[in-house]
Amino acid sequence: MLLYAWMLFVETAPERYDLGMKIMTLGRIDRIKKIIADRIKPGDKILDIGCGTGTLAVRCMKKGAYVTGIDSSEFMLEQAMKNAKASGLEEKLTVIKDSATQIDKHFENETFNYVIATCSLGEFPKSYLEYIFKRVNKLLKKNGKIIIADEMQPEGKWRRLFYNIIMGILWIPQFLIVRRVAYPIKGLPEIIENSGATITERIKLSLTKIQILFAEKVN
Amino acid sequence: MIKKIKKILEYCFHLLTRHYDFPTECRMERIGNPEQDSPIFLSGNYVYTVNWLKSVLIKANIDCYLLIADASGSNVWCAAGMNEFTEHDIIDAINVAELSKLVNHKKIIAPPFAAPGVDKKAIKRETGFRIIWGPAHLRDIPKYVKNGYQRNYEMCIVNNDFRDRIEPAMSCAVAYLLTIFVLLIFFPDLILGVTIIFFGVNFFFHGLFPFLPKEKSYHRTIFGTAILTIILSSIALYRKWSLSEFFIWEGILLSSILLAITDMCGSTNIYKTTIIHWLKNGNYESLFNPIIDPKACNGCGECLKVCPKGVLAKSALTKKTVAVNPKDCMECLACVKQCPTKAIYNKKGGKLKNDVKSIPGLHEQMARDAGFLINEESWVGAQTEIKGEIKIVP
Ligand SMILES: C[S@@+](CC[C@H](N)C(=O)[O-])C[C@H]1O[C@@H](n2cnc3c(N)ncnc32)[C@H](O)[C@@H]1O
Ligand code: SF4
Ligand code: SF4
Repeated sequence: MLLYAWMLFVETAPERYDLGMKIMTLGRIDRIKKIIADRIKPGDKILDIGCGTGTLAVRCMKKGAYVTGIDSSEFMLEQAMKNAKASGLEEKLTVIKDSATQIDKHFENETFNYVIATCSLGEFPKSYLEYIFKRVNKLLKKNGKIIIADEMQPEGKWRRLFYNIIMGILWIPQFLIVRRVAYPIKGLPEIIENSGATITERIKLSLTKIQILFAEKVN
Repeated sequence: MIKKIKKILEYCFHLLTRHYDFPTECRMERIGNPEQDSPIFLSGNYVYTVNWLKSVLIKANIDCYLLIADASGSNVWCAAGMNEFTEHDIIDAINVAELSKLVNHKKIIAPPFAAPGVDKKAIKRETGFRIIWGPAHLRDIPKYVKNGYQRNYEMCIVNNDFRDRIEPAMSCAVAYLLTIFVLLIFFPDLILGVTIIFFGVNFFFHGLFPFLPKEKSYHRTIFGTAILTIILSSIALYRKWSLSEFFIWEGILLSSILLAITDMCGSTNIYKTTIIHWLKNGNYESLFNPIIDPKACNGCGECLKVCPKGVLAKSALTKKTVAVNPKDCMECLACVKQCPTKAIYNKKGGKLKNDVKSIPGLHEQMARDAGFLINEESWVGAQTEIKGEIKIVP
């Protein structure tokens, strides 16, 4: 939640943004992106939803993948292209300025080996996520994979209670500083499974509510 | 009874916290018994507006759909002006609600305060739905519906009546106070006095807005400070304060006046410029001063329909839009976002406020030299008439 609030705040200025992400994830964001990029093989075709400044895209392209980043913010996409150029990888990157519910309008079915999204789905309510993942499933190739890293509400009664108490206390300073609250994603695993994929692996990062979810399309 | 109390408490809570965001779930709601041809109203997902809008629609017995799109939980005007309520949010909402399966028409009635962020053409292109600007204020919706879904000029502009001024003013005071309370932990006996001063000062400047002199070379600030200082001195004499006590309270009063008068984020109605501009010039003129290139303007009138301040008018002679009242402009940039031909220049040139907007190429557009439009300045102050929802120069 705090993570999102901060992002919403820094998102308005992409230059501040990468630093902001680092601070809010306690420096984890790089590790998360490394974990994800390590799964990528040369020639993979990747769709990055809410690609932001493209730091993950660059890592994946360095592994030889082709990335299409979709983001609704022009400022972010400009930054992403700059980052790709700085690494000489701009030929492997395509950027599309559009919103996540529009993904199916841009590609044929079964286009991608991977659909990834880091910290970009938390703003969507459940109905939007269901809508998006239905389309993600269509765009994935046979055995295509989904990797999502985000703040997620913990499952299990006691964990959730503990989490809610901590968040309740943090709510006030967060509210005062960034003037808004944001909530972690609820029930993402079910949404993904209902869209026609199975969760294959989960990595939880200690001290934050960030989880990395891996899923695979059921054919 | 309990319901009523709950409603009042809810109102008070949201009144005081308007500067904070309270999202409600984005969704499609049915109001009354809507049919395939019933109208669709659009709203952002700020819970206070959504509840208010719903109660207005229900009370007026309007069978309709209410489409609630993501505005990050803040009011549409701020959200649209800060890249948080754009065409993308509306396209998302239309997609997820599968609107075209619900209704047999292609019209969405949207608040014109969303115009600074919303590209109507993109929505039409991607979804087929047409955005139609409704009344600026949701109070006017019943009148608008009775009027056959036609606006008149009054429905298009912000009138800044007492309620419109006082609500943001009170919540502005709360936002300042909450921050200051953190410091006041060390001086608990000041809390009550500081609270009274902050609410009082904000009430004074915003509530009495029409009765105070115009801010020109700091006139309003000086006048207000004088009056409030006289009031404070009377209290000091009555309560027999020592001189040092008086100076402490006067200091608090002055800082609260400074905060109220500069209104940090330009978030209430009085202040639409930067603090630096105010310090240098002692007025609230916006950094944007529209002037229109008649060669580029195609007379479509999109800008006229969204200006909340009556700055623009249509010339009956040339059929083009002209700026008749640029001094009233408050830099919302709705006209610039809506103009299909980039015909609108900034007479003042140079920089705007530093908000992130959703207008592609805004800074290049604003940096264009408007010197060649010097003749267009003759429209400023021209006699105008109201015709339907717009002003015209006959
Ligand atoms: C927190 S950033 C994450 C960026 C990147 N994935 C990373 O981890 O560094 C969230 C991104 O989602 C984008 N975004 C927000 N709403 C979106 C929408 N409706 N459709 C597409 N992208 C969106 C924002 O512009 C922003 O770049
Ligand atoms: S003229 Fe000024 S107030 Fe009117 S729409 Fe344009 S920017 Fe807004
Ligand atoms: S929107 Fe642009 S083209 Fe249309 S009337 Fe206004 S200035 Fe002219």
